[in-house]
Formats: sequence, C-alpha cells, structure tokens
Amino acid sequence: MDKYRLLMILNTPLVLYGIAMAYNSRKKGNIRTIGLVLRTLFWLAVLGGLWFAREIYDFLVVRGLTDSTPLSIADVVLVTGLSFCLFLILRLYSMIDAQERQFTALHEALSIELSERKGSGKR
Amino acid sequence: MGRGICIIIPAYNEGKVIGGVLDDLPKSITVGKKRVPVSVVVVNDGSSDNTAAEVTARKGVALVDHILNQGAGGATRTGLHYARRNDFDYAITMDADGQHHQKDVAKLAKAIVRGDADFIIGSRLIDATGMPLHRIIGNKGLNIISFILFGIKVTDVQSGLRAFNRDALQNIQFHSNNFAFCPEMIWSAKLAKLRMIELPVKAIYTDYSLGKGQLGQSDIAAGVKVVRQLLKLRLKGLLDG
Repeated sequence: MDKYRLLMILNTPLVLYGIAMAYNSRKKGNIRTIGLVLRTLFWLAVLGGLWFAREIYDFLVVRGLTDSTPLSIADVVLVTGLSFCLFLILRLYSMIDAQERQFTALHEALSIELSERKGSGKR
Repeated sequence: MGRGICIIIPAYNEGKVIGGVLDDLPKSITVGKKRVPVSVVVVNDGSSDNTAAEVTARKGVALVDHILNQGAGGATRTGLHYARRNDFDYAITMDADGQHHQKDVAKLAKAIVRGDADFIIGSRLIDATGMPLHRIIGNKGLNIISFILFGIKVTDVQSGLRAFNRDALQNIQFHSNNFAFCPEMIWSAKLAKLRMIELPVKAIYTDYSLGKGQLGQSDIAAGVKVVRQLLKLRLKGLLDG
C-alpha cells in the first residue's frame, strides 16, 4: 500500500476524534467558542499536513529546503506516534483541568458548609 | 433586599496582625441617608499559626476554614462564593497583612454603594508616595505584562483591595488559585463588560508586610513566580478560549 495513504488512514481517525472531543468540551461548557475554533484549527492543520504530506515533501525538495529521504514505514509509525501523543496530551489536559475545577468547587462549598455547621461561618 | 456589604479577607498565617485589621473595620457605612451594614468573613487558607483563634475571638466576624491550603486566589474565590451564597449586595476583598487603610476600605464601599461602577479596584500606584521603589517598578512591570498578555489596562493589577456589586459578584469568574487570579479577575470583568474604575488608595508598609512579601519569598522571586503564573494562565486561556 502507498505509504502516504497508510499515513492518512492511520491518523485521520485520531484527528477527527480530537475535533469531536473539542466539540464535546464546548457542549459541556468546559471551553469557550474561541477555544473550540483554536482547537479545531489546530487539528485541521495536522490533518492538512497528513493529507498533503507528499505535496509538502515535493515542495520542500524542489526548493532545496530538505534533503531527507522520502517517507518510509518507520516515518509512518513515528508520525502516527506523534499524532497519538498530541491527542493524548490534549485529552489528559482537558480531563485534569475539568477534575481540578470540580475539586476546587467542591472544596469551596465544603469549607463554607462545614464552617457554617460549626457556627463560625455565620454571624 | 440583601444583607449589605461583605468584607472578605483571605488569610494565611497572619495571626500576628489580623486581630488589628479586624478591630479597625467599620460596622456600617453611611452613604447619603442610607446606612449599609458591614459583615466580615475571614477565609483562613489552612494557616498553621493562630489566625483562626484571632478571628474567632472577635464577635461578629465569620470564619471559613479551608480544609486544604489553596492559595490567595482560591481563598478569595471562596470568600466571593460565601458572599453570593449569603445574598450580600456588595463585597470588598482586602489583604490580611494590614496594608489597607480603613478609610480606603470605606472609600471603596461608598463608591460601590453609590453605583459609581460594578467593579472597583483600589490602586496603590495612582499616587505611589511611600511605596518602596522596587515595589513600584515590580508592580508597574506586572501591569505592562498583564496588558500585553490580556489587554487589560489598569494602574495596579495586583491590588488586593477591590469592590464588587451584585453584577460583578455573579459575572466575575476566575480559576487561578495563585496570584494570577488578580489579572484573571480583571480580565473576566472586562469580558463580562462590567463598568470598572480605579480609585487611589494608600498602602501602609510596615516591617511586617515588607518582610513577609507575597508568597513569603523575596520580592524578585515572588515577581518571577507571578510572571510565570501569568504566562501559564495566558496559555491556558488560549487552549480553553
């Protein structure tokens, strides 16, 4: 199979899942519209890079900006790994941030509630 | 009808001075013919000294004890949560180290009750007489960095003396637990299109407050830490929108 096509097939689902995740975060109110736009643009840039990898490579070679060898299977694995890492980082960031906000909100409410029960929080 | 003004004092290991700060606060504010009652809540941010004991020794002062140490931003957010939950019309945040003069607190209280703005910042830099030079430079530097990162143009972005009306209490949201909460709060007020003004206040610098510094570090180390926190907040803002 053409290696460029393999690169697209392996990575496109990750990118689409990343975009879907951003929409989901917006729906839950965890990010604002501008955040959704920025994340979508980021993933579309990754997708563009993957879909036009051959054209980008040819462009760079013609202008003498790279002298690296054409795409190999090892490169496909490497690029897929990098996309997966980016995907994981954003997913983990979203999860940790949401958990942190929930935790601080809980801590706030609990501190006030306990102080009021003790009688020190209401005067 | 709400319950007047809630003065919020986030405190962390301020046992030596917080008693004096609480004793100086007014019990009510008179604006025109209107007498507005003043309540005080201290958010003890997990202090290991006698801060809580000093507060409970004073009648009429509410104490909210943080179970865990959260930082100045976290303690301020809890205080504002307390004010909303108890249906206060206005809230004023101030520092616990005694650097704010009682008459400046009253000045902000009167302005917010008169409806001069939705959100008022007590600026120590409009007239910085008496402030040590290194603090003037540091604070002005933080103003410039906050302007570059968030587009907020105020003369004292790190001031702890601030007043809020109901609109501001409902609409200002911030998530930083550290000192980045100061510009984040102003940024949020700007995004919520609240009417915002600054009033000149005088900071009282004592050996205690100068020796303590923000975060208990040297001024330079504290300044670098705040800049790092601001950069992190801006980056986070880009990811979250």
